[in-house]
Amino acid sequence: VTAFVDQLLFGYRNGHELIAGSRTLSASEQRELLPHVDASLESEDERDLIGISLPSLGYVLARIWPAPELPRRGAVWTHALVVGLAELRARGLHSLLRLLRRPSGDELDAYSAPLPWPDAAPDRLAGPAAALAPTLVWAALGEPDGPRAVICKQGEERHAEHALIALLDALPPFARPALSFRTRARARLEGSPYRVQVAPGLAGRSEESDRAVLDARRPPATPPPRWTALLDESPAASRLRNALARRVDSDTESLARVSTILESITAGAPAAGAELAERALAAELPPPWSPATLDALARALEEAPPPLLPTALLEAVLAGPLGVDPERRADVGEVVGARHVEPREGGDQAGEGGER
Amino acid sequence: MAAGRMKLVLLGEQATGKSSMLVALYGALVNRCAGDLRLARTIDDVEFLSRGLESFGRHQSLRRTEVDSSARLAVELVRGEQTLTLDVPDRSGEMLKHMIDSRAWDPDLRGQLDDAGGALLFLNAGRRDPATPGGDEHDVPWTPALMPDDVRAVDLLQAVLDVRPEPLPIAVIVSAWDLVGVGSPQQWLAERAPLLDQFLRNYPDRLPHAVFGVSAQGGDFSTTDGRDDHDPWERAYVARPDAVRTTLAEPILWFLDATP
Repeated sequence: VTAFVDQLLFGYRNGHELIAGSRTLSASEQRELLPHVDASLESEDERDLIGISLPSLGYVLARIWPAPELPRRGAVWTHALVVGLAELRARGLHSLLRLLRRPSGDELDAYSAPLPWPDAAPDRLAGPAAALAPTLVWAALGEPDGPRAVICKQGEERHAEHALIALLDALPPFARPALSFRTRARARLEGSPYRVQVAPGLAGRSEESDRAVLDARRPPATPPPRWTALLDESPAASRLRNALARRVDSDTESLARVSTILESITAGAPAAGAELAERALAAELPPPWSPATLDALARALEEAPPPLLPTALLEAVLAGPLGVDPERRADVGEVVGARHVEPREGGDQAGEGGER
Repeated sequence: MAAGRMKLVLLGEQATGKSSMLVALYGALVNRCAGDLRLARTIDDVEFLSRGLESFGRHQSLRRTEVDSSARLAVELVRGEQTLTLDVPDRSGEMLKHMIDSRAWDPDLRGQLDDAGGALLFLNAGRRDPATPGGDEHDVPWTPALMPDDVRAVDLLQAVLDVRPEPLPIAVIVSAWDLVGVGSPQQWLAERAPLLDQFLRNYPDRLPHAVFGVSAQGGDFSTTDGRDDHDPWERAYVARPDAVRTTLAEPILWFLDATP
């Protein structure tokens, strides 16, 4: 069965407005969408990419181009794709970037029908996109009060597009709607609705700009958390992505909770051991995990002192307020105890050896 | 020295001269062409204002304001012994257009009105009446966007009266005033926007008002006549309600005098 994605085209007519689309928009939908499909572009080769979940519409992926051929100075074209949250969770966005296209000439009818969802494998991150990825992951999954703007070299914001899409697709399905982003010429530090902004410059005055941005142009002042390697090509990063992807269903939209889990998995626990623990936990508490379960898990992980070994992790979780049948706790502990191999020096390798 | 704060809200649909007015006012203040008003300091980022002045200097109209704009004119002013903090957030006209079309409040505008000391209501003297057929446009189906400007302005002000019990001083700004040529701004309003004129006259206590003509560019950049060699702050001017030409500060001075 072919899936389809709705599309909308905005341009300047009597103001910046909907020019064509495969669906109509109610007044409230338009009011909610308009701020995200408009821009003040500063050069003719600038283009912004926006990804954001809107309560009335679903997830919107949009690109904005200058429109110097339109009658008003500063007019722009915006092509937006509207993705249902169920599709976002099931498919991710990696194949949709290639659908975004700027109108040329009068072929606006092409924007009036839903588009078939392309069947394409994710692009491999390379070059500047791969180099930017850890900083983007840090901004997206770091502390909720931490930096949300990433400053990159001029022109690299375009490469960031692929890394942002890869990051969104690597998140647990339940967490994808919570990742919003925008690439632009100048990031705004105040009043931005986006979780991550990527830009070569900053707009406005801010006395807190040093604390509010991650500068991808320079080495970080403090070592980044290990989980910022989430999008690397390494086996460890691949295991991390797999571990994340298994957290398949929940209503929660907390990226902070995901980063807590990531931190706990990578902080001291050998990756393979963490997987073992996770499997045992899943056996005891089969997914889908409720938000309350994830809350309890995150709390238990936060309270457990690092380095966190899988057994300790499980004990902490099982001792927590998860409502696990007390008679089964011993069984789970036994399973873990039998399969768990204490790591040797070298961490991950030891854990891998133990599992295999 | 007395000190005060004044927050003004811009009410105007797209391409009615809101940003141009702010840029021209900023240019007049920075270059001491604002009569009794003196600029003490700028409070917020002035980059968009400086860029706007550069555009005017190149005889280019301003770029349109994006819907999600965070730009504002925020300055500290001195008038005699009085100091005043003036805060005027720039607004995209599209959100107001959408609000009038859908007859549903824009939450941001609704919030701004609560603590506004006054409002600048913009009409464009060069805008063709959208209800006037031209070419093949008589086949266009009716939409709220085809309502005459004064009808839309009255619709907006009625909504304002519903939510704001306190008086709201209104400076009606007729932009692109250099295109008008003869008469006073007050006459223009009576002749070209009669419903709005009647409406405002009926609410002198709740909507005290004055009408100003503003030429922020000082002329039409699309014609040779509009491209004189003066600096932007020397070209820009305001026509008072009685048509006397004065500085860009005049509407602000009117607010100061109209506000107890």
